[in-house]
Amino acid sequence: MKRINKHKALSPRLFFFLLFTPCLAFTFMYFPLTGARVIGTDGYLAIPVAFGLALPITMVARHFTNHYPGLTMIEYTPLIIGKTLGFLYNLLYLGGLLMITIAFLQEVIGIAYGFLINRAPLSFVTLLMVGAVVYISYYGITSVARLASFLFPAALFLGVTILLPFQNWRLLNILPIGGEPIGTYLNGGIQSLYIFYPLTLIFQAAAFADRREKVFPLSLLALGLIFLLYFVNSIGITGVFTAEGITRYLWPNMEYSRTIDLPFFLFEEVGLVFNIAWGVLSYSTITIFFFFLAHGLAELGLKSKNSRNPVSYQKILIILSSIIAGALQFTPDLNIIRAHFSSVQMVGGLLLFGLPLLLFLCSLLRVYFWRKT
Amino acid sequence: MDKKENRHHQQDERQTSARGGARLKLCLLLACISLYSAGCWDVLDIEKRDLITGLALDLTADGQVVLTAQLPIPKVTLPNIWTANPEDSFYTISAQGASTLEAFSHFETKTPGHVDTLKTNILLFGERVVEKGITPYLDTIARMPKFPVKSNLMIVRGDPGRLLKQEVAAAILPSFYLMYFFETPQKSGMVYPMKLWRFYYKLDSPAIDPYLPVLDYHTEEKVFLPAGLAALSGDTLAAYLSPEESKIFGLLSEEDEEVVLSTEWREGRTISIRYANNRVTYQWLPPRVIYIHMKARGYLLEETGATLPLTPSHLRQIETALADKVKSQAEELIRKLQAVNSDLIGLGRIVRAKERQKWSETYWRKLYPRLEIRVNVDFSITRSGRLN
Repeated sequence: MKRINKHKALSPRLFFFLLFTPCLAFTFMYFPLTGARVIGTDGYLAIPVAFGLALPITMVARHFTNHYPGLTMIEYTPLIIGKTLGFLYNLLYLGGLLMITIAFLQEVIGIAYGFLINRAPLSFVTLLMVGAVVYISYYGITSVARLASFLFPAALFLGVTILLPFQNWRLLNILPIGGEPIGTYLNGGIQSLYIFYPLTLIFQAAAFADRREKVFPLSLLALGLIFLLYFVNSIGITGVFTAEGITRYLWPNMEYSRTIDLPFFLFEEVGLVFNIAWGVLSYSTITIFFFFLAHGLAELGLKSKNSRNPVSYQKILIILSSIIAGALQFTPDLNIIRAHFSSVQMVGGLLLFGLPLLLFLCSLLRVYFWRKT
Repeated sequence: MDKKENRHHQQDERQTSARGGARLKLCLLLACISLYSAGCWDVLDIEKRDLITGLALDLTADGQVVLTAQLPIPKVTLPNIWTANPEDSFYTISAQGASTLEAFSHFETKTPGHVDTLKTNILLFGERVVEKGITPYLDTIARMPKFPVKSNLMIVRGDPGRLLKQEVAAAILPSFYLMYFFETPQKSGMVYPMKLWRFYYKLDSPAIDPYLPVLDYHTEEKVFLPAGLAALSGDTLAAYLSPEESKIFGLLSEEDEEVVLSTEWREGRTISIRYANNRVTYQWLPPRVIYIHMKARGYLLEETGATLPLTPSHLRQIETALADKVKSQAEELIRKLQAVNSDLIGLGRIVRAKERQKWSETYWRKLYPRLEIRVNVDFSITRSGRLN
């Protein structure tokens, strides 16, 4: 395989899809469960609350993009909090990214085994998936982002599939709206924040953007679109199944798509096509996670420089993928991960959102003390 | 020199882009191949599958689960092939077990190929199962990812397995007959189809109870007959509704199917209408009054004494007669459902929407039988066919 010398800058379109695709696919199959369990009949209100809580991340990313142009978070963290602390910080952050990557891979494998394949050995499926992911990630961020943009029709299909089950929607199933204490909605929003965890990639992806001034509006656009899709989806699925009905399923959105009745037997079973569309978007999401994980690990301990310059992350990518493929054989299966889901959420939130916010505060303090002295 | 360098740079970029595109296509091809090859272990030819198109679930007297499956014989069921005996186009097998899964696993011992539920469009329950509580017997079916969620559920007052063995005069597979019957929109007003996914959510929600269409069979004419609805309270059989009561249920609830209603509006003269549009609103007056306001529109289908043109005054009399009939039948039906604590209409959702803090399933089950439910009906006839 040819070693690449430079990462090409990402056009605004590619940058947008780099953020949009992982946010769309990451929790799409099961996110309505959280709102339904924590809040109840109006559990869909957890989504706007989570959106409001995720918004500051885009502003934090904008601050760092302006102050440290062309650098990823891995590179400017040591500049803000020092080498040792910066190294520990980056390690924790990448650990969080690794955790959600493995959790997501377990979901993808779980759905594949649930609905598509039963007898294929897990090692074979894992090797194939990881191998294909490594192949794309190996050739740089442009390949990864181009794949995400190429799969836009699948995202469009998911969007349409969200709307079609409204044929079975009942207004009474989503009532009452409000009536619970504010704390319940806040709790629901905090627990649903995991929907936007992939947004944290912006701290690394912004360094590759061709036009820095577009980073903030594009990230807002991606966040806004995801919020809209998820909110409409949440209202739809609650109106069809009721909140109690949602909690029966492991993957509520999969069941939601299976209720679609199309005339003239256009598709007898839309659910399987929905599964495939989500599957290809998941594949793209995993390539993005792998790229940033390997790239981030490669940048650990290096002196800060422009991220578009040569960074030899390919070896790390191959080693990392072998570790992940091996880990998947031994990590707890999906039921155990779901049983400890709140821990995964909390740890993920602290590492992926909490750490950048902490870094932002340190950055502000640093600027304040620097100005003072 | 600068221009030459730029040209080279542009050429390089184009080549890189083309190579990138080729890589992308190769990767997608590999992904597709990997997808297919991962399925190699699950390959099963259609000849080696025994597809169950209809499934019946019942209990024996001593509580054992009895499953009966209808399996088509594909080579005989193809179009343009006529068999001397239509009943030879399918066969049925039965199995018993302590649970549904155990009974299901015994099917594999009675079929040459792999038993597949991908096409199980009909699920019949015996009375005993529903009387005892249907949830434990549905658990394994709920866990099967490939079991069709749009299967039609029905209850049979006799032996559901026996019904699956009957042939039909239309000389098609009996389970297909039922599937088409339930999925034809024009027939939906006669029996209210209950899909499996819909049944689950009504089972799970404490604010509404599920129902099951009742199925019967006419031995002489060899046809299946809809015979009303079975109202459940929770997951247990509560009462049976006659076909006439089922129509009123359809008007009152969200199951807005087209029904034909008849009433006598003058002595010796009856009218029949088909209602085409129904708007129902609910009003909760605490502590225990619910008003159901129904605005229905219908097409006049028949007027047995129509020797004279119908005047506006006649129409008003017809509308009043219809409204009075629907009101009295609706209130009678609601009292019947309250007596057996079956909230088919889903009035629990109305009270929950207004009394969120107080509402719970226990609260609702105690309140529902004591509610005072009044129905107001406003009927208008919008069309009278070709006649004046």
